[in-house]
Formats: sequence, structure tokens, C-alpha cells
Amino acid sequence: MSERDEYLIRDRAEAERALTELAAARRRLALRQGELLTALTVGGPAPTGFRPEQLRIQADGLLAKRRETVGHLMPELPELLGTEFAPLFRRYAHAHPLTGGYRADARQFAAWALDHAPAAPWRTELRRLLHPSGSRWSRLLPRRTARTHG
Amino acid sequence: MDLGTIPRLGVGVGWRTEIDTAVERLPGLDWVEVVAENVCAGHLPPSLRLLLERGVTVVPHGVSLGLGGADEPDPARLARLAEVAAAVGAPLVSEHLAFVRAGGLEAGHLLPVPRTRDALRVVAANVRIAQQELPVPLALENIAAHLAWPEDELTEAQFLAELVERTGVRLLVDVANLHTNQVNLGVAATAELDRLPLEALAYVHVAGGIERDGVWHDTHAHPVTAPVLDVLAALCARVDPPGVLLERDDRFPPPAELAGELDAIRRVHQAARQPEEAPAHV
Repeated sequence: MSERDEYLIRDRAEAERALTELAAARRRLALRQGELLTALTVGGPAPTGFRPEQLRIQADGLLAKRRETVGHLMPELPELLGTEFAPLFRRYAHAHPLTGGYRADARQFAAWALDHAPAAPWRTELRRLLHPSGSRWSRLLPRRTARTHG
Repeated sequence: MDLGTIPRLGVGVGWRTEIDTAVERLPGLDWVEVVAENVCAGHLPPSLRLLLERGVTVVPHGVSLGLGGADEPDPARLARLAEVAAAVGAPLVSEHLAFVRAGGLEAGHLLPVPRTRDALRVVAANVRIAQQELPVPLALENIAAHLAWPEDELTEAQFLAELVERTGVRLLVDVANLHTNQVNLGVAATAELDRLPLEALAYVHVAGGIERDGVWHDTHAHPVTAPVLDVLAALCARVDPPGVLLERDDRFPPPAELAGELDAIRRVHQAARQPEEAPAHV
């Protein structure tokens, strides 16, 4: 085997080792980030080592961001539900983590609120909002763009 | 590491649908940033097209790539960001040092990456993938956090410095986020500025927020406060930023107030560039 071939084989072995290490690092990171996000969004157990107060503040922040974005996309929801909007949204959010877009989230929350507040005075109006005469979803088309910032 | 030339952007504001006409009329506006996910490359809003026709630079700012995530960046999201960059003729695009999804869950916001050497390897690989797919240079932004990972080995600035070294990525320094982390996590903003390789600086974000019960909330819905402008001044004392941008996302003020905030930013920048005469030696 020539010296050049030896170098090529060594380089290839090294590249393969680097890829294996990267894949392992991705798995470790996925595990930790998954634990944290589960704790922050659906009330999963607090991952080891975090300060509980910091977890609570970050979880509240994520919930508020989600609620405000939904309220921004469908302003009728905070208008109709008033002081019940925030507590209802908290219950909904813990049972329904955000997995897709905010527009779908807003529609899903509206339907959930109808099912989970049987005696609420705003039910009729919310039902009308969800099922207007004419196009069934016409009123639920997003009126604004999603807010996203960092 | 070849950083190439970093374009001069000047002073700008985050373009948002709600303030499009106010932005169009802002005096002396050099450039705007647009949230990449909120525009479609094939159907740019008329207001953005007007600004482009006037020669105003538009920089797409991504919020959902999650380059700090465990998975490789999603090709479709990357392609979309690249399309928006091409559609507006952007000199660069920006994203965050953050993860936004994990285990099938969406955070809906930017979360900090555990800043370990192990995670650094993953994030550097993600940044390189993004750089390969994007038609223009990428800048990464520091984020506002409410929590710290127990396994952190590096500060955010040190982590970003490693990424610059390994990938040549450029920096978007958010001075409001530095302030946020100083209040919430006790990380001194000026110490972080000292740890950042500011020669890689592409531009700076400035934004307002509010303190409640000892916690700083980076709302982008309140006026820019003096402590945030102080961090901007500290940055400008270290480097002349190629660009500075005001972010406002909610509770939009009247146009005159927005213009006033931009003027305040310009004053801080100019004061740093024209330091007072040194006192004469006796």
C-alpha cells in the first residue's frame, strides 16, 4: 500500500469517527432539549439541575407568548372570553401542546373552549364565530400576520 | 475564518405590517429587517416593494430554523429563507442561537441551547449546513433567556465566539437581550461584549421591554429604556457597528415616537464615534 493510500484510509476513518460522534452528540442534545421543552410546555417533570423558579418563569413566558399570538390572530377570542381567556387558554395549552402553526392553534382553542365551558355566556357568540352563516370558516381566516420576535 | 466585507447598513427598523406606512415615511431610514416567516418570496407586500424600489436594504430575519436544535436544519425552511433573501436582494440574513422545537413539540419561542462543547459540535454543524444552503452570509443573534442550563460550560458570548471561529458566521448582537440576561440571569452585559468577536459584527438589535417583579421582559412592545441604550453605547465604544436596528412588535407607538427612538439610537451611535476631547495633561 502506498503512503498516499494510507493517508486516504486514515482520513476516511477519521471522517467516519467524526460523523459517529456528531450523531451521538445530536442524540444527547435531543434528549435534554426534549426533557426541557416537555417540562416547559406540558408540565413534564423538571429536568435535573434547573432552578425551579427559572423553569416557572420561562414556562409562563412561553404560555403568554402563545396566548398573545393566538389573541393577535383572532382578536375575537380575548374580546369575547374576557377574563376567562387566560385561565381557559392555560388549561387548553397544557393538554394541547403547540405542534404546528398558530393559526391552527387559534381554531383548535376556539373549538376546545366551546366544549369546555358549557355554561359560559359567550358560547352563542363563539359558536357563531366558529360557524358563521355562509362560509363556515370565513371569519376564522387570519386577519393578521403572526408575531414572532427574538 | 474569512469574514469578507460586512456591508454598511446604517440605522433601520423592523418592518411590520401594522406599521408599514409609518416605516415608509420615517425620515433618514437606511434599511429594514423583515421577519422571514411572515413574507412570501413570490408575493412581497407592496410596502416592501416600495422600499426596495427606493433603494432601502431589506434583511430577512428568521425565527423558526432552530439552528441550536438537535436535528439538522429543515431543508424546506432553509430553502424558504433562501428564497426570501433572493427575492429582496438581501446582503445577508440572520437567525438565532436558539432551539425552537424538540421531541415533536414547538416552543413557539426562542430557547437557549445548553452551552457545552458537546452541543457546540452540533450547532456548528447546523450553521455550516445553513451557510451552504443560503445565498448570502448568515448572522446569528444572542437571545433573551429566563433560564440557564445546569451543564453550561460557556457563556453565550463565548459560545458565539466559538461558532464564529469554527464557521465564519457573523454576529447579530441584541443589546436588549444582553440587558435581559443581565437582569434575569446575572450575566454582565459589558463582560459579554468583551467576550464577543466584534470584528464579526453584522448589526445590532435594540428593543424595548419592561421590568416586573425583578424580571426583565423583552416585550418589543414598550419604549427602549436607558439601560438598553447604555449597552448600545458600551458596544459602540468597542466597535463601529455596520448597522443598528430598532425592533418593535406590538403596542405600536405613533410615527413620531418611533422616529424619536431612532433618533435616540443615532445619538448614542454618533456620541461613541465622536468622543469628547481628552483632557489636556497638566
